[in-house]
Amino acid sequence: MSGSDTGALAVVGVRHHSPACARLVRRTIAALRPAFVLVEGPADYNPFLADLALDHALPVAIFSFRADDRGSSASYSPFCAFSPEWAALVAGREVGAGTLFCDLPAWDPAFGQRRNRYADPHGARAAVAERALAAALGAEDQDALWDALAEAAPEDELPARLDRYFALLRPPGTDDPAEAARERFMAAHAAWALREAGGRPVVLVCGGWHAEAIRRYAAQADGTRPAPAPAEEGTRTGSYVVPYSYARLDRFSGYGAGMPSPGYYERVAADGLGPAADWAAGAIAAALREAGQVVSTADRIAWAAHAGALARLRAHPAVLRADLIDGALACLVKDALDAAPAWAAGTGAPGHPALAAMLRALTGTREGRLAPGTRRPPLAADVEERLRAAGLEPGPTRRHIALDWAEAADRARAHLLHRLVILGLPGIAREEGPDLAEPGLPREGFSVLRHPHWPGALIEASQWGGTLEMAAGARLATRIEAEPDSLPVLAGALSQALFAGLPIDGDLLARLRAGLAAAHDPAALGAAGRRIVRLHRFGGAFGDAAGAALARLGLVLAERALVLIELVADPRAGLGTVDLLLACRDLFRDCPDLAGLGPLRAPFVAMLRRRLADPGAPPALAGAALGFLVACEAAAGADDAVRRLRRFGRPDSLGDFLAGLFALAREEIAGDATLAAVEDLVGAWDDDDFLRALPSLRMAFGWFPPRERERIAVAILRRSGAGEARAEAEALAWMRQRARPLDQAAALAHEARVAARLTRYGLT
Amino acid sequence: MAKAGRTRAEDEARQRPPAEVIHAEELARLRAEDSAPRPPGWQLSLQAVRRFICGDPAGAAKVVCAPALVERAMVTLATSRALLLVGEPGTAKSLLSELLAAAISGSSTLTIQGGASLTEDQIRYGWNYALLVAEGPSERALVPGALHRGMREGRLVRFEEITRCPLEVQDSLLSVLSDRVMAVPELSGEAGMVYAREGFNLIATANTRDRGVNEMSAALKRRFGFETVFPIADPAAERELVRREATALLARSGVPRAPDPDVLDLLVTCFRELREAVDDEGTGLEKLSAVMSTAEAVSVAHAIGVKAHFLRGDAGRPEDIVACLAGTAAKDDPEDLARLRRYLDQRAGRRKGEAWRELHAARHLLTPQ
Repeated sequence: MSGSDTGALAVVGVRHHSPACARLVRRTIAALRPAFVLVEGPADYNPFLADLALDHALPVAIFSFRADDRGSSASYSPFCAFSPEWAALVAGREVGAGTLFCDLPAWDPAFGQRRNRYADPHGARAAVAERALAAALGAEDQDALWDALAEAAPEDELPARLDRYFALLRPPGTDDPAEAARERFMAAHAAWALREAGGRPVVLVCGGWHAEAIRRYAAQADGTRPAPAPAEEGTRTGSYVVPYSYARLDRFSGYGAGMPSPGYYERVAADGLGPAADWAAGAIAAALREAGQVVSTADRIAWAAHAGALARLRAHPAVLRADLIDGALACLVKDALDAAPAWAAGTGAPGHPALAAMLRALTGTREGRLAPGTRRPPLAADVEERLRAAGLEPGPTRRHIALDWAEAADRARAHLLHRLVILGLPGIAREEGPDLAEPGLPREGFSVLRHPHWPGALIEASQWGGTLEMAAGARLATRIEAEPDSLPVLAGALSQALFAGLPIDGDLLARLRAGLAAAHDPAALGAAGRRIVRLHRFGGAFGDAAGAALARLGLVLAERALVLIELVADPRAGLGTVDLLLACRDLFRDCPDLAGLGPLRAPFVAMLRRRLADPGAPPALAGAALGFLVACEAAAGADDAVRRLRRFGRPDSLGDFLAGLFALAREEIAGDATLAAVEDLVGAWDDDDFLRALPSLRMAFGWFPPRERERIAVAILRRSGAGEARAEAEALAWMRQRARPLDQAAALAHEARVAARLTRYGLT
Repeated sequence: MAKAGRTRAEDEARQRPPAEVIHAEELARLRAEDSAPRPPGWQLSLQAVRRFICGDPAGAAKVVCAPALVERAMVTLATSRALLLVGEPGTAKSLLSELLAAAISGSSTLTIQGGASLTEDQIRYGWNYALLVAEGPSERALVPGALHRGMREGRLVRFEEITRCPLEVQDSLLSVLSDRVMAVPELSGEAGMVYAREGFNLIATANTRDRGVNEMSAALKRRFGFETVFPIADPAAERELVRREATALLARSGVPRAPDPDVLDLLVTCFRELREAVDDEGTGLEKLSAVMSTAEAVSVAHAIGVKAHFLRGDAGRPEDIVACLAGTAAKDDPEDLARLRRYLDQRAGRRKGEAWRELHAARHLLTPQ
């Protein structure tokens, strides 16, 4: 049996988070009253085990991290009230046994990239065996199989069933090279405990996959206590308790875990299968009704009958989870599904929104909470101390904090808040701040709130470093590491680092320079360029070193733009150049003292003149080029603009041209002469042409703020003969339209069709 | 078991005998061995029906689908709701409904074929007009439709492609499905009401490619339990099914040899990749708008076998697949033809193996017809 003895060693192989296994563990420990209870869990946590005995609200997890210069990795060992591992810890304490974790630390190479200690990868052979077993027993997937086999098993049959089940997955006597290091480590613990126990029994609780191997290896071990290898030089490691939640525990939404639907299994553990099914039916019905779905009493009767009949057909002693959701699928879902239901496929998203709602209902909403006095990492103290010193402690209500970079004290607070935002801590958000380029020092607004997930997130953020500055810097570095060649990521990281007052990494600047110089997509270059020019225009806010670095980046940007804009030929790429020209306009117009920019100006202007004269240039690019010349050279005035406008006056090009023009020189160009010219052109089109041009025209006028758009509307109405008062009233009505523009366009198209038909039958 | 008065030879001469004839012996054996309780009006217990359809250690499954789907379908039929099987064309919905009817009622022939021209009297009852004029409305003059017979005899009625019927014809099922009674107002007395006997129920099928179930009235939807039938998930199972079915079809067409395994493998792989729009490395492909079902694969395998045997005397070559794909995958959409060409050009060329190379080499055969 699972709890069989090797000498006095009882290895209980369990499935993680299984209520039936938790009961078995409790029974075994109560019956044997062992000297030691060893549990599959991080042995490096043993000095702090007293922390787990505090009065936490479950679920909680042990969060382990390992960090060095190159990055950081973290993993969890989650526990809920019905975890066999948790049951072992509690029962072990109750009988006065020495209770210890006996597995390797989470950062041991044996775990690879695993995020959850209790998500055992079992290999292809086990999967085949499990599928075959499920098929033979008529269960659709491994969860249904497990429920029928173990959760619904009579207590006295459970150990034998578990033995046969795990023996099928991994035949006795086989070694698993991927897990051998962990298994030998656990077995060495067992051998040591046996020697120490002085003839009293030892209980070891571990995943069923390992049980037989551990029994074998324990007989070979010499009985010295194994110690986890110390972390390498230059790495930081740690393990702390953090609050966990059922949502994270559930395989359908969280990391791979042993069992889905924790809310349901909590009821199974507490009340048994029948009451749990009743609870689940109520929870699913409530969730569907809340989502606006009709679940009538007749539906519920049919569902209960269906689930009961399925349970009988499948020879289950009670209605199990699979019966219940199969019944719900048959009785409550009145649609064709797009994909096989998720609990059948075992992976992926549920095939239907109603199914997703059902599974969420079974997940439960329980959130863990740590007991006061739980050990916390240094970062938590560091952050809270800094927040207290700055008067920014998150409270139960949302606080809005306005910061002005002109104030030295505010600047320090802004650095602090930006660092917290980089770490992604919940409850801290940047609400407002400069978006469009504006010279001068930025003002920002933050909101600060004590979020329920704050304590856990703060502990988990300590994987990035022991102090706030270190952690924020490390977090940013990993973001860059993940996409080292992406211009948006690099430019975003630069901006975040500057705002957070973090030292600018020379490597980041070199990468950005290389990225800008080699960019081939004008849109991406434009987006990054606007960001860099904007940062540059903030001037001294970021310090002299940053200013010089930004100036160099601006120069690289201008040089690359000079080459790239010349090459753009695809009409669809035209709009992508607008941002790039905007960045260049700001650079040439507002940063004339930037060293090295002067000599570039003449070739840049000449290039734009060429593009403007080029009949093959995309309209948006031509418009933006003209806008640049108007804004920076003042050579081409409104007259020139009107003349050129006519060249692009066709319905398929006018909107794009104007979009480019208005984006760069809205203030300079949007006089009455230009608008009258546009109006003339548009007035000459028929309805089809107008509808075709409408989307791009809307985009072009989107560059105007609402007040200016209203002014334009008044001007148009006045020109069409409306009196001043009427024009203003009507313009106001245009600005506050109730009907969506798309609907209006559709109505126009309809009217045109009606008119055409009337004409055809001579009814006009 | 063939019904009285018909010989086995007659059965075998039929193009396609119904399921209860093909599997008569197995059904009889199951009936004899079945000791589990049966729902009222059923010829077999649920366990025996599951064994009949999903197979047991002794016999292969007759439909490749999740056993849970069959279980849910049976339970729906055994409780008070009708069953609606929905899915893409060619996912064996009709076969499943036929097998269920054969196992539960012993006959699968009470079938209504849905269509735009279907009228209410075709499913409920009509009249023999000569008798009607001569005698007035009488039971003798009444010509019972499938629904009428199913109710009176306590048998399952199959309604194929229910969503292709006019909505008012669909809704004429409402009272039958909820009250389980059909009024015949022309007849007086007891004959004027047909009460459904135990064992009566309805299995409908609907195609997700047609007008779909969305337009069904909510009232009617409520009286159905929905089951979506999916294409076969397991490649090996699909290959085996295509091989078995194509071999059987070829035998009926007088072709003694089974399809070439390499060609068949290639064919099923192509169909699966084009259907799921993912190739063997997990790279996304363009999804065809045409239906690439298992049934379609069987008919292509059949066509290849017939052509190869009678025209060339071999068992089929990869190039035959290309020729057939043009007719199957690109039935009415020139875009599909272009997608298919890109698939053969860009994907097939990269794959390893002789068969893939030949397929790639034959891509020029993919011309619009």
